[in-house]
Amino acid sequence: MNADLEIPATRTGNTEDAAAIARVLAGDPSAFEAIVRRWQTPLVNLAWRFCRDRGRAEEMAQEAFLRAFRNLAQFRGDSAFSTWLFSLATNLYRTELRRMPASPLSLDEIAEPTDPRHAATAFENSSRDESVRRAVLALPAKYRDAILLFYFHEQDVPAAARTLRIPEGTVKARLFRGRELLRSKFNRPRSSKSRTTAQSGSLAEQQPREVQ
Amino acid sequence: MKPRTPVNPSTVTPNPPDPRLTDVALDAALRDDTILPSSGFSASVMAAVESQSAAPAAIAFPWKRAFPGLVAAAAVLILLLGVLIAAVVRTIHAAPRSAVPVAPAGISVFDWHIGMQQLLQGVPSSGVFWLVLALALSGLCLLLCRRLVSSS
Repeated sequence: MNADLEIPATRTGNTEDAAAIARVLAGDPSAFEAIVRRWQTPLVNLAWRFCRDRGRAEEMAQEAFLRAFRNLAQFRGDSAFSTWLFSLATNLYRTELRRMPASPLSLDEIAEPTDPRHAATAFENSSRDESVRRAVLALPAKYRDAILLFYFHEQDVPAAARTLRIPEGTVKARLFRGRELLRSKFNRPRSSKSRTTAQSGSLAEQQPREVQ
Repeated sequence: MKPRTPVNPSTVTPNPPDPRLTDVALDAALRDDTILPSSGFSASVMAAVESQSAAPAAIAFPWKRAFPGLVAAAAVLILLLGVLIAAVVRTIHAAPRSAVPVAPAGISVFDWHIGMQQLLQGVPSSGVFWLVLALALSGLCLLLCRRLVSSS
């Protein structure tokens, strides 16, 4: 996440969140606006990483806010509000993706490595970045979630583990396997085009060994 | 010393980028991936929140009003269970031991058939009992429904 974006989370502490939550629970729903304004950018961005569709990302983030509003009384303050909110949103986004997956990516759609005889342009780099991001969505869900949450939390493994509610070691193992899968797909030789065309199916169909 | 020939920048071929997906490239692709919410997003969320908070709360089941009916239904069930058990006990005691063959592997379908026949012999054969019971249960259900609807 870029530093210039609004990232309140733990940097500003939970006092503002706590005050807003107390007001909402006391019967003032308009106080929820402070929470929305503070967390809208992270929640929309998280949804965007899960679906890569701006309109759908905003719909999913809105649903996450509504669910948070409905279940606000269940937030006991055992963890940071951000952890609770991201867990709730992540569960919702994963459910949404199971219901309606993001556009699947076949191996044929993954960008080929740039020909070194041609100078790489910014466009080519950005095109490959976008291919990488879409390839992440084609990974099996457990690797996809670990990678998305790891990078969303600014490469913070403990934060990703808290959001996913799994041990840090599991997150690290899933990150390793997920990245390995991505590298193996993007670093295959160019001459394999014909073979690639013959192969069909997404990355998700190629299940690696389970690493816990 | 031989003077160096000036190099025309336009003829310099830049180093070709590494076509392989390195860890650095992967990190960069996945880290720098952000969007900003549209300007009306928070307003849209708050409109949904307001409409949800303004909506009437879900109607709770009227446990207090339904309590007498539930107690009556439970009492009827217990009564029926008692009658059934009494009939079974009476049938077992009344039946001669030789009439109920015991298979080595347990109770067979044939045993159940005989048992049910004996059990039904204990119930009035005219069907009045069942008719009255069915009417009573129907009336009870009707009363309970009317009570719930009129009180809500």
